[in-house]
Amino acid sequence: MKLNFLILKITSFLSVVFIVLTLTFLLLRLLPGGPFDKDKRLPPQIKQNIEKKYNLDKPLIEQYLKYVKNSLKGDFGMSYSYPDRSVKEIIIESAGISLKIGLLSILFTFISTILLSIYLFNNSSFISLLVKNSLYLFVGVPTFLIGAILIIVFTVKFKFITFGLISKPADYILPIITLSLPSISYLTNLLLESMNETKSKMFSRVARINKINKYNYILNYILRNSLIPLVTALGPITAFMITGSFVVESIFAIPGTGKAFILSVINRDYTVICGLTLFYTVVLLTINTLIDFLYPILDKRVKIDEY
Amino acid sequence: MEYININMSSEPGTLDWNLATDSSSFLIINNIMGGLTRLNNKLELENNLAEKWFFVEGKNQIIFKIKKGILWSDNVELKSYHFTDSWERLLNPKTAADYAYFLFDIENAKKYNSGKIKNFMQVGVRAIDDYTIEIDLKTKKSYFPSLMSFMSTFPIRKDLIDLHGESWIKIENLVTLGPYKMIDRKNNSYMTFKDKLEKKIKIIINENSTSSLAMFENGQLDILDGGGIPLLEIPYLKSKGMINTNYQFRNNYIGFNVNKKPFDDPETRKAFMLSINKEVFESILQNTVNATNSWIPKGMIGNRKYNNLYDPKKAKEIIDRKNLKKTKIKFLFPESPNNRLIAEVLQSMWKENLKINVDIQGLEWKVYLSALDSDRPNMFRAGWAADYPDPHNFMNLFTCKSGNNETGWCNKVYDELIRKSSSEIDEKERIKYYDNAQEILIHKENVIIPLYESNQIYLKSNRLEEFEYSKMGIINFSDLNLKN
Repeated sequence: MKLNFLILKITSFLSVVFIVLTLTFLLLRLLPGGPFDKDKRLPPQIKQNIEKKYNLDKPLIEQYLKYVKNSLKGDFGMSYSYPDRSVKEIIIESAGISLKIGLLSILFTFISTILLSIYLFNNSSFISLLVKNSLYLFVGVPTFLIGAILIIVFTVKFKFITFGLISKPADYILPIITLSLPSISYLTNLLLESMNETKSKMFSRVARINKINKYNYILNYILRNSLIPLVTALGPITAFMITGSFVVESIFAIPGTGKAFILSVINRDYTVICGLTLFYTVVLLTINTLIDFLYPILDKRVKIDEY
Repeated sequence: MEYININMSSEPGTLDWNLATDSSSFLIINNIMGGLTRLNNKLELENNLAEKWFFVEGKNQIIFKIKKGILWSDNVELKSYHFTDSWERLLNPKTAADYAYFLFDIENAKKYNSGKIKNFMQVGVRAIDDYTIEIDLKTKKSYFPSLMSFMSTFPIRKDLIDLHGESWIKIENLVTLGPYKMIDRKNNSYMTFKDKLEKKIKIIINENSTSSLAMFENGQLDILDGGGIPLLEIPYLKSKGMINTNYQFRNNYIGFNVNKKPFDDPETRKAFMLSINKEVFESILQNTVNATNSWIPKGMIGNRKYNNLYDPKKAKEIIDRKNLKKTKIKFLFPESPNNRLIAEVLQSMWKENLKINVDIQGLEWKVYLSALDSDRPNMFRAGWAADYPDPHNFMNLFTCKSGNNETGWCNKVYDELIRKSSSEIDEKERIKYYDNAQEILIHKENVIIPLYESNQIYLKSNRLEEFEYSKMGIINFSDLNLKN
């Protein structure tokens, strides 16, 4: 049964990759304006030379087949906007920094969520109410606003930290906070709800009646049994981190994939758009697949053959 | 020595000067490389790598003598074939360079670029000896020496390109001959440069103007160019006296589609022109622009002095004679906060002065460009920045065969005047031709409405001495100095 599950996962993984590959190729061609439409128009013969150089003069189906063949080999060709750089180079150069920020943000999000939830659980003090309510605020506030406020407060006004370009570890602080705040707020609400639900279950009521140590009770009885929604949220949160990175990388001048992706769309840099879209697809699919495998480990009641 | 930190609002496309097209690349390449000629701060074309140049009498030929003893950064001496190699590469269809057409005035260059001629020996370019280049032109072109100040025509080292292939441009392989050498580079992040006196420059790439300004205020930047200044901050920065302005060879206009009603009629076009008060733009754009009636920008020969032609009464009289009530008029512009503001002001001027409703539509840049081709509107907003410092670069735009002429207007007399002035060497004669041509373009036929010339605006930190942007919109690193 486990083998079947594995095969099913791999085939669905590959078919999603293939569909994304095809759709990106087709949709880009439908977008008005091509990579070589520039403010200063080119004489037709020069445009012909350029199209020939990048095989854009061939019939669409031929271009597509070549693109699929090369993509499967991991060769996305050269960038149109940066003619001396290959797409692979652009992805490798920018992915490192984005993955680092993304993973650190996810880690930061989860740790903060758990700590905050432990603090807020069953707590009705004034401060905890204030924190709880401000959480709702951060769910709604867009990252570009959070980023701008953090820059104004921490760099411009108080000059605590410099920012931009990520040249030293301290440069990671503001982008990570910006990227994590909305997720922390969302997940803390989610976890608290789940903890309250667990609280009402029979085993925890029994534990409470037996007067178990408060922290032992929260950690082992409540928290452990409330973590499943958090794991489920890991997929959407990763997706959120990726889209959020578009904004955050732009605000903090971070040379990552998010910034590269936005530029490639503005420039209609077909090869880079295709390469980066595929990169994001693979990252997301991998994480979602990992989550599927993680479920049964966390909760013994979930079995893989139930799928 | 400390770094002088400069903001750049877009990553250079490539530093391969035969292929580069954007202004960021132009700024860098101009500091690490050089051409036969260059434009000095007094707007004069002067010799750079050339010792001298002259047109051969009685022939359509120009000869460049290059300076002896100029060394590349690997100590190889600059020779004339470094130029001819560059022009071969620029024109070679396989290179597929955007700016290959810059050399189309050379005999057979166009044919070589289109593949009709395979042998470069047939193109009118020869290295006579190590220091002399002879060029056969199709007809004499007075602007030709100014083309030699543009990056696409700079010399190359073919031996190194053959050796390293596409990675000749990587920092470890790059050999240059300009006043500055690139020391370090991280794509999409920064570049550093050094000259012989160890003066150090750092370019910091950041597309986001809000964070650029914060970096400037935080002391991380010494120069912040216009692209890095958020529009809404300009009034505040202006009130603090922080904004510097240098004028540029950069002009903006409204173009009419002369093949579509109602602007197939020159009189209607004139009425629309008379109903615009261009001085309003100076104030709404915080005096970062200058109103103009001339298509040739200030500082070039043939520029016409500005006088206010705003005459709403006369405009209304003309419009009253035409029956335009039911005509739908669409005005297209590339979407940006500035452009939208201007479009809205224009719309209200036409509404108020002519009682005509104009539909305004802003489109994302590439969509705008394709709309001009596929579904040309009645009117559109556009601009032009000089590639080389000669009026021909501006005036040639509205000739019949120009690919950048989006108006559909074609006038044989105009074309003839532009052709004549381009092959005329006497400056006074050239001015006469351009004067007549501008009279037709702007006042008789009203094909375009020149609106305003944009200035380069920038912020400068206190530790930096005064300097100026060149009229081509670039900074010469040599002009930058820290105060003692």
